[in-house]
Amino acid sequence: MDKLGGYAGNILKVDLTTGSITSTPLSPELAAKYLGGAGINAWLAYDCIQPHTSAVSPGNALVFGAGPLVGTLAPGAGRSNFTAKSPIAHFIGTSGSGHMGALKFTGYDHVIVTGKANSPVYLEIGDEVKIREAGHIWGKDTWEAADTIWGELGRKYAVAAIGPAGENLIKDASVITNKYSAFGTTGMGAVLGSKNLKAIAVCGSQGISVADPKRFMELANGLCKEIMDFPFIDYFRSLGTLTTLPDLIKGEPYGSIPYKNCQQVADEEVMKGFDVNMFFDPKMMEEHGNISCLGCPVGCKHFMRIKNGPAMGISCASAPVVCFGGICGLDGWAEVYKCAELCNRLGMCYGSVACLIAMAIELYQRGIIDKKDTGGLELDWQPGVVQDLLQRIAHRKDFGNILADGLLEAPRRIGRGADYYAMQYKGIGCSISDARSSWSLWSSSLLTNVTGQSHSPRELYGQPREVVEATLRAMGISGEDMERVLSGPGEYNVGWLTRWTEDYVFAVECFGVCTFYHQLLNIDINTWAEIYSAATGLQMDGAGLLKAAARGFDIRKAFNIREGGSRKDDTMPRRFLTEPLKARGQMRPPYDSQKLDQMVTDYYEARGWDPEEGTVSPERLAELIR
Amino acid sequence: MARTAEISMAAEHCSGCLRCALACSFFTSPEEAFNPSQSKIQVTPGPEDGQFEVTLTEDCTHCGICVHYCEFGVLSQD
Repeated sequence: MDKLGGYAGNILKVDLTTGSITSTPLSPELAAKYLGGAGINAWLAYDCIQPHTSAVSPGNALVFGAGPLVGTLAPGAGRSNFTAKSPIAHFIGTSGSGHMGALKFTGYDHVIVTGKANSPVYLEIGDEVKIREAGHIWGKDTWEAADTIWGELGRKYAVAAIGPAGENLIKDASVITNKYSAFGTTGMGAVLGSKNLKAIAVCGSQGISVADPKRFMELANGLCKEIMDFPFIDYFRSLGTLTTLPDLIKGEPYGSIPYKNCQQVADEEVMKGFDVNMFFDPKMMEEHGNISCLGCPVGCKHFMRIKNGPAMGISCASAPVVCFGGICGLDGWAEVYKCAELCNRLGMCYGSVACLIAMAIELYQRGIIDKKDTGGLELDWQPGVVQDLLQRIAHRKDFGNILADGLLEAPRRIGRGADYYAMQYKGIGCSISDARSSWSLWSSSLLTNVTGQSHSPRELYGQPREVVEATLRAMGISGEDMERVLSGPGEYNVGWLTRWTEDYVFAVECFGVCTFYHQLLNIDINTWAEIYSAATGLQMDGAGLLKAAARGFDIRKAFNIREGGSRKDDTMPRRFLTEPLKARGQMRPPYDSQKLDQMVTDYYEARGWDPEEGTVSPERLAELIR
Repeated sequence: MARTAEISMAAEHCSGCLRCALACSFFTSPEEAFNPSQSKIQVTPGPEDGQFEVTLTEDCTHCGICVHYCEFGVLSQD
């Protein structure tokens, strides 16, 4: 097979210990097998990282990749992924961002960074690849680091940098790109920090060709027209992810936002300070403009300047409200965006760090910890406390040094039953929805997802059966698989539904296309297959895409099993299984543990994993690594 | 493509998506490759955060393909 279209065609390998920089061709067979982006990243991580390697040791590999549609006019195809062994639960970690897809123009689809530099460095991937000295940037926050690197290389470079949190190996350290977007979850910032790698900067002059330009542009233009004709697109552009905030506050469709560490829900009463119309109010917002990811005609990210608050770029405008307004119980736009600004500058994941802080405040309120534990701090649901703790965590100062070890390790260090108050799935903070308020595909995917995070599934739970059926058909689900989904135990089988929606979403993610495109439009899997085929020249149908996506889940599961993962990891916070939830004046019962067990079994069965243990069979593994 | 009217710009509306540059490079180069560095319209983040500078190179023919692909009202042509 000749070189495929769409792909840049090369994998860059950088060993920071030796300074070795080499390149190998991306084989068309590997491309077809795992599609690209997060899919090929997963395989490369499985292949490069020896079992039981410490996530913050030179042996861990940071894999950076962008999919085959990235760098083309396929709308929304700007995303890239960082993948590595995560320092949080020691499973595979993956995080995506819309601002580093420019990697493709450097002639590489993937970059594998191994080893550890003797002193701080940053990696310049341009028409040449250089390991540059970064001693003068070490210690700076992510915005200062980006400004310094732009000063040295020019503003055309896309820059992904860590802040003090990554340098100090905070488990929930993120990597901030161009100041306003993030590889947020699963602790990728700590992996960079452990390698003395302050930043990666990319800018190239290589072109991306497609196999069938005429057909590719017909399809890309059609998709662009469809998204721009979407009835609420102007509203979505104006508000970005805040569009969903009113529904989230109502508890739809994902379930209710947790409030004060999941002690209750963030309902209309406690969230009344977050009226989204304020976003347009000049009394609050002094400046407000769109920012796009590479190739996106929508531009749902924002640069904004809040009166008496921060001036910042932000990729997910609802996340600070959900995390700091909900989980940490703060009130007011300026306060939650101040927390977001701090998190961005320090380089930490909003969701997990908010859950860490909320855990600490609840422990203090309950008298489980006191001032002796906190270094004299009185903890309460106040902005000053939250912002102080953000600084202490990032710098591993006093009590912050304990919280810096994340939602699995910090409660172990505290002891006294603190782990009960850690609201997490596989160590990733559970900030977006409380499973007791309403079961959703979002919740179910969090439960079983290989990385403990999910922006994945399209939300179908609670939809009429005919809508589910039509959506599944568009996703390419038919025959026996459709029957299994629709066979229950309830109205439909959540475990099976989760598997198929995850595969559809992951295929698109591997292309490098933003999740909002398929959340807004019900795009047929065969349309995606046509776009992929026109771009690459590789004839693949929708079923082929779903098979490739399933390989991406299986290889990541195999990674986790190899690290000692088991069924016990596929669970939810114990609080959800034991405590009722006060939601809108009513008490909702704890989540039924038998129902949870059945859902996990159904999901394993749907994936073809061992229904008891969730393991990938030796035969399947042999296929994956062949 | 033939030169038509001059392209005018309102760079303050630019979101930095680069669709103009992707389209220009694809439609005006014989190799039909997406390559913003070879585009006749250049978009660069400005000195202030959240702003972009948009410029046309001297060999731009004002064919208008970039105008067609801009969804933010930055580019226009009479």
